[in-house]
Amino acid sequence: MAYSLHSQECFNKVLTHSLRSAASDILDSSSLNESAANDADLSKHVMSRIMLTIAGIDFRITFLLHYADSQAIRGIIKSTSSDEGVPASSVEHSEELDAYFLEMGNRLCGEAKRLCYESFDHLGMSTPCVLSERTTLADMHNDDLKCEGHVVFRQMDKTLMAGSVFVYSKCDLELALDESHFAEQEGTGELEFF
Amino acid sequence: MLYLFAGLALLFLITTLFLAFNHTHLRNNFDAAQVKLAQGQQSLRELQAELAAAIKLQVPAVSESDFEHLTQQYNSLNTQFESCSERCSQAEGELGQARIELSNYSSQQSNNEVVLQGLVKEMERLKDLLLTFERWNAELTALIDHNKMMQAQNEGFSTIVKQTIILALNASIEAACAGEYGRGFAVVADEVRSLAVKSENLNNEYKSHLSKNEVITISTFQDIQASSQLILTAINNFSSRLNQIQL
Repeated sequence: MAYSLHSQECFNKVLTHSLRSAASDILDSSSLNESAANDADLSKHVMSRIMLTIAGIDFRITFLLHYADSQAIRGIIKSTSSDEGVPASSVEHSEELDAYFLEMGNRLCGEAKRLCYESFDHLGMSTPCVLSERTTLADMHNDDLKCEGHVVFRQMDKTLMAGSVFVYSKCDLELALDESHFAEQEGTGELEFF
Repeated sequence: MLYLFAGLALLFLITTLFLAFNHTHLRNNFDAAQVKLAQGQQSLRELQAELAAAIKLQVPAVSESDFEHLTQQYNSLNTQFESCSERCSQAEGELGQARIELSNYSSQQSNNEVVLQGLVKEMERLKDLLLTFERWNAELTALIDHNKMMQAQNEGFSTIVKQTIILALNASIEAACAGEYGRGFAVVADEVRSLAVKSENLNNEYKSHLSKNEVITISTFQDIQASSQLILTAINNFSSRLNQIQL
């Protein structure tokens, strides 16, 4: 089924805007570079993944939040916490890092749901789930997948964090957004969409 | 004779005096009557004048053209009156019809109220769907846990298969070292290695299916979770609107 390019761009904007908003604490205090990516780019890296879903009446939008279980991302998170004057939460163990990104995933999904309310009346949001490391992006593909988009955040050409959006529907789905929501963020950094 | 004449004269005098007195009395009465008559006439004239003035006030003098104009106005008003009368009759008919419709509507409204109350109860009952969703969530959570356990077992199986391949390789080496005596053992070792490789391939496919299964299970779990939130919000909104109708 043909899918409108405009809608795809809108879903990518929702992903990018929501991820920037959810990860604003670590993005503001780090030198992470944002860029567009594709399925193959992301598949190269072994990363932990968190899945979240927004359900509409005849569609669902699934977000994946990818993050490297590395000392680099731990360092960024620790520096962020100390910058804000809040005692740095421990992210030494993988479970603690997962908990940190589960919280971020909730914020991402909440912001995305708020944006999607402009086009859809009834929406519900799930709780986040951590996927096993063996899960691949190819596992996300099925016959109902209408579009997907990815954005990655790199430090020194090393991918530390990324976000993906997958839209599943059996019918046409059009998302129209008020561009003014993105004007402020667009003015502060580079914006590219896959 | 003299006395007769004197008597007659006296009688004449007395008669004259009486007549004179009587005349004077009559004259006074006449004068009084004349005064009263004059007063009466004066009053009559005044009354006539007042009457004339009153008549002049109540019935203004109208000319013939005014009269025609008034007649036209009368006819026009009469026509309007008839038209109004006709419309009144129509309105009365419509009012009667409206009363019947109002009566029907009231009856229908009573039925609607009963239906509405039924709907409110149904909506309250639908909120129990939350329990159903919780049951599904619990079952899917168990499925996700089960899936993770199978993935862990699959990892264990994968390790065993790899060890088996190494073992088969070692057995082949040992069989080769045994020379002619180890030939039969070498065949067995090759078979074991071949079976271990097939197991590994099968295990990799199984691993891939388990991974796909995990995504399907979690996405179904999340879809149900999010949809249940959507449905419950819609039910609550609908329920509160129904309550507003009742108020």
